[in-house]
Amino acid sequence: MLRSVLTRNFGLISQTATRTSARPIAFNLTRSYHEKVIDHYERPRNVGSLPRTDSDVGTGLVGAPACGDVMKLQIRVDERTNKIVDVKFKTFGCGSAIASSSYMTERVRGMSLEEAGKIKNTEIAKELSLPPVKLHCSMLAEDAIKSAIKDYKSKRGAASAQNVNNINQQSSAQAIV
Amino acid sequence: MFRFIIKSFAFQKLRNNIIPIPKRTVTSFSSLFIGYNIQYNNIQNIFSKTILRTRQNNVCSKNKYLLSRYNHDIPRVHRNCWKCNSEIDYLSIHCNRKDCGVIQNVFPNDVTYFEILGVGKKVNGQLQPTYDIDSDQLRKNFLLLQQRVHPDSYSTKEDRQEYNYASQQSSLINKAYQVLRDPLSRAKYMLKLNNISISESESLQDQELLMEILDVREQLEEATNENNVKVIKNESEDKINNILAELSQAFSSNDFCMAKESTVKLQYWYNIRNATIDWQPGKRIEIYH
Repeated sequence: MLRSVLTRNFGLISQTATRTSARPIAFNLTRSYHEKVIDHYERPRNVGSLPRTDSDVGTGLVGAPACGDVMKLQIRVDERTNKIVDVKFKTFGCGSAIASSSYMTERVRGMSLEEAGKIKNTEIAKELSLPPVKLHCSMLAEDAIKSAIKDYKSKRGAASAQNVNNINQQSSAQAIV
Repeated sequence: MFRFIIKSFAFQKLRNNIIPIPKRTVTSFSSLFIGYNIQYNNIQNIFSKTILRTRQNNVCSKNKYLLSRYNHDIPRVHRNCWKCNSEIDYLSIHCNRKDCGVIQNVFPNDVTYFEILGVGKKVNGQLQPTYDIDSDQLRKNFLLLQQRVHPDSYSTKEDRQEYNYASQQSSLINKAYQVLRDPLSRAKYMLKLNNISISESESLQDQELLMEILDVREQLEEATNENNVKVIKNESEDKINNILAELSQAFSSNDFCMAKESTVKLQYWYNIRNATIDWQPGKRIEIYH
């Protein structure tokens, strides 16, 4: 009952507002997702997981606290060429977040780590025609790829430190012998 | 039954303010700035800078933020009735004069939803926001207020002004009730009152929380029947109850850093709980904001 009264009130208020203007303004009140976003949402590319423990896999896990979205982006990097050979993502969030991460995976496939780290969220937002209210979703995708690259590099860093230790131990063992 | 009547009279007395407000003499320079967000406190300054920095980790200052804006000694300005011009109290809905008694316009933004609905902790004659509120009391106050301001009672008056004021009052009271009723929106509102907002440009780096949420989400994706979903729903309910206790503890000790972290967690678990409620076999889980 309250709700119907309030909608009646707003109806009256809007009537008084339009009485002042000369002619009624017709505008599209419904806002819908862009068709590219819907395409990515209905047919997302590269959904899945890569084994986290593999030494050539970097995992980026980020979240948007304002809306409660979570995004996981995993890249498999070829150590010799430093290029991304495989990429998988999993996003639990709104359509724009899923589309942004799906598009990001398409984009970085085959790129080098430096190039991938340079992708800006504005590129994604432009490609998917994201409205201003959904710009933070593209930001999330940019964060995800950066986080994945950072994770991979730290793994490599740890691995190479391990290698150096092993070589040192071997050489010291040989020296003793 | 009688207790209810007495309680309601007491509440109405408060709203029409028969309890006198002590006169405050303006002694400090900062108290002249009524309603402005002037930094009279360095910690508040640091906090607003922290929020403005984007793309930062979700690490807030570990200083316990002791002074809330509403603890400060802000003198409340009296206002005048629009019809008879007599002085009425800040919080009054109707004019105090017996022969006038018309409904007033909505009060300025300085007033919190807690004061509007008469819940919270009474400190120096003002109602301070608290996280634990009596939801029965909240509902009773809401219904009482709506009885007094509902526009239906003002639709036949010749003076359209009264009807408009009643509509605005009614909308505000509805909004206040909706915000205070739900624990998540109440937490966010209380953070906002202390100038802490969870902005959209913030990025969450808490790997533990994200892993947990991801796991539960994947379980939910793989669920094949109602029973699996029920297990997850119960888990989310338990988690939510724990977080509510954390939030209550954080707000009562003014630890807004902890409160913000807990609010973020609560948001995530709320989404999961909603997903379990909406779950249908074979249907894709949609997420709405």
